[in-house]
Amino acid sequence: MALWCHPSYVCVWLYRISHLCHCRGQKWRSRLFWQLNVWITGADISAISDLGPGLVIVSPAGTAITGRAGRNLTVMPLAGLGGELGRLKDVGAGPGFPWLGDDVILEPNCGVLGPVRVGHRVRVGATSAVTRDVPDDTIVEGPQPKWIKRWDLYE
Amino acid sequence: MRYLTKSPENVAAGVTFKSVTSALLTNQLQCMVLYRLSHLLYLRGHRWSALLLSRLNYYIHKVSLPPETCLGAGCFIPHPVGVFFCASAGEGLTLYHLAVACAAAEGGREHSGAWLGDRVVIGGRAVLLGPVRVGDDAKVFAVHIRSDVPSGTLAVCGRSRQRMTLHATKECSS
Repeated sequence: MALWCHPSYVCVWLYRISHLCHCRGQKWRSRLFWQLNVWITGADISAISDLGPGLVIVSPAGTAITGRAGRNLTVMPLAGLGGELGRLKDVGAGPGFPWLGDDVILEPNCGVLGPVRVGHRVRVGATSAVTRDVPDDTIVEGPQPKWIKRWDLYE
Repeated sequence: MRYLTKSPENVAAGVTFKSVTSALLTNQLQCMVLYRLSHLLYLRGHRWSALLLSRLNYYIHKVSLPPETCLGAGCFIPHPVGVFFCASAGEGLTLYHLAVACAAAEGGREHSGAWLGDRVVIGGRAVLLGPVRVGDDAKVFAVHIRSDVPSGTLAVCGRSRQRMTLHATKECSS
């Protein structure tokens, strides 16, 4: 029961239902479940996105997902997949949407934007944005932190 | 009611009936009250109701504060939507919007979140992954923290360059 009302579980279920309705051509119903997902859990997972089995969404609030992903996608809080306006190339996931391989980990606050092809077993690091293709077995690291000592001078 | 005394607008308005009711209706206060209740129940051993309250907190305010999280006195979350915090913090923590502190993706079952000192400010879009230690009076803004932060420092986003590194296949399989 504790598992059933876990928001990430609920959000994945609602996405699966809306995607099923989308595949069967019931557009209105799929939109309904998608909106329900946004209302209840705060995750904006589009019905047209095709996510494989083993999907884990750690915290659904603020995640926006559109695209195609393989097995075992891990989406940590505030990460996102999506199209970028203006680049409408099709790499296998619809016009302008990213294509992800298997076992991809999206760390918090990262984004995969535009029609890019991300390989298998890729870890997209926190606070980074991927706008180019990424080969297999790669870690994408975000910007390095910079320390400023004695911050009271800057106030 | 530390919100009435700490928030600058309320200090300017003074403690009147209107300011008290408006402060009670803010989601900042409500989410903290729900979290405190769930943490209290967790400490008393009522795991089930504690989990229920934290889930309720999530569905109402979209803030992930699990009952295991330890927040000291005087914690202030100005914009609770999207905040995800599974870590321990000392007194006077300020968590701005979309702050994330949690275990890394392959984190173990034991305490693998961050440890924060007293009077820490976590700015918007800051990410603390894994068991890092943040010292007292530190400020962290919009950056992914990988190593420990010494006390009294300001961590901001440095070189805005991304790197791609190939990692060995053994690491992935393990």
